[in-house]
Amino acid sequence: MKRLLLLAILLPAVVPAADFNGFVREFSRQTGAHQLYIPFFGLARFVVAVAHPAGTSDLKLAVFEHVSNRPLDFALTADRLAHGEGWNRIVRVRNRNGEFTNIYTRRDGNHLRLMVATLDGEDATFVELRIQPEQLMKFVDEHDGKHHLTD
Amino acid sequence: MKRSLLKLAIIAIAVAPVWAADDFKLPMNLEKLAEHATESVDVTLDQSTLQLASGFLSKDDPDEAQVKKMIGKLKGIYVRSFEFEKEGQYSMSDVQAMRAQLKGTNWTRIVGVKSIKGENTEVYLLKNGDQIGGIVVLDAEPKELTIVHVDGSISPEELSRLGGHMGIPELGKDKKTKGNGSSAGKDKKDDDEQSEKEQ
Repeated sequence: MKRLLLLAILLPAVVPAADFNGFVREFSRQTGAHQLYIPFFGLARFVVAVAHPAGTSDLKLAVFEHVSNRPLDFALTADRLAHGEGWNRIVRVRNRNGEFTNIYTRRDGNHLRLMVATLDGEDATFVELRIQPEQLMKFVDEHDGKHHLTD
Repeated sequence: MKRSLLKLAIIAIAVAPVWAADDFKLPMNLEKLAEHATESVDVTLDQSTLQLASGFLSKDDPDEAQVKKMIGKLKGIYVRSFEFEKEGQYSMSDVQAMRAQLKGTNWTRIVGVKSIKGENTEVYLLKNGDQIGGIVVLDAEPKELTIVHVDGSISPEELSRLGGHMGIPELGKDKKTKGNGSSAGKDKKDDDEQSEKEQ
């Protein structure tokens, strides 16, 4: 019984969602870039799945090195792939030094999924988060006490 | 039945240009500016994204209900911002194209600030009866260009209620009464130290 319980807790952290994997595989196929293995990342996912920091219940990460895409091509590739998976791009930040960041969002039942796609030189990173919006807003409100437009 | 449909179609065609006249569209060539900019930011929150966000807000919580109501009336929020290394890397014709859309329609310029440093800020409101139907902010500086477009009905009271939520700063809140002396108190102390140094 204990083993079953442990498996039930660990399984969501160990088994990655198919859509993110598919996205990452397709990006790798289209750009020829190789995904980097990150040791102990499963443990980090397990901690997130259990502790839910700032309302985050799932974390996925894929890092690529030696991405030969030009920044704009990277952004267009990411946009195309994301759009096919039902993501909406809400933010795009482009830097002339070759940095590019796109932020996408998608509904997942009572949760919100956020995906951040970043290109920094030849390194591309994709992060996907599953967030409980109410807890995230509470976290943002609690940690934002500095900005007041008065004077 | 056919006549009614025909009438409806004629009315729709006649009215369409009037609606379209109030539409503010970000020029397509703005994307080209990003190629020359040291940094460009593009925020696009269209109606579907706003609806997605409002779907997570509770009707039972009074604050969230207000925000939900406000977001429900919005069609989109768009921000384009460009930072340039040198002056003259964007043309004033880019800004003029946007200004032209805001002239001779229901748009009213309510703020216009010009400085000798070449900074030029304008705020336009779209009047929709006694409501605001949209807001456009154009901020053109020698090395920076920012455009903000809030599309949809919004009232200033509703806007001010957003303050303090989702990381949005509180409008018109006294520093001394807010923050219990933590960050606000620190700001005041920093201000005092700065004025002492200047003296």
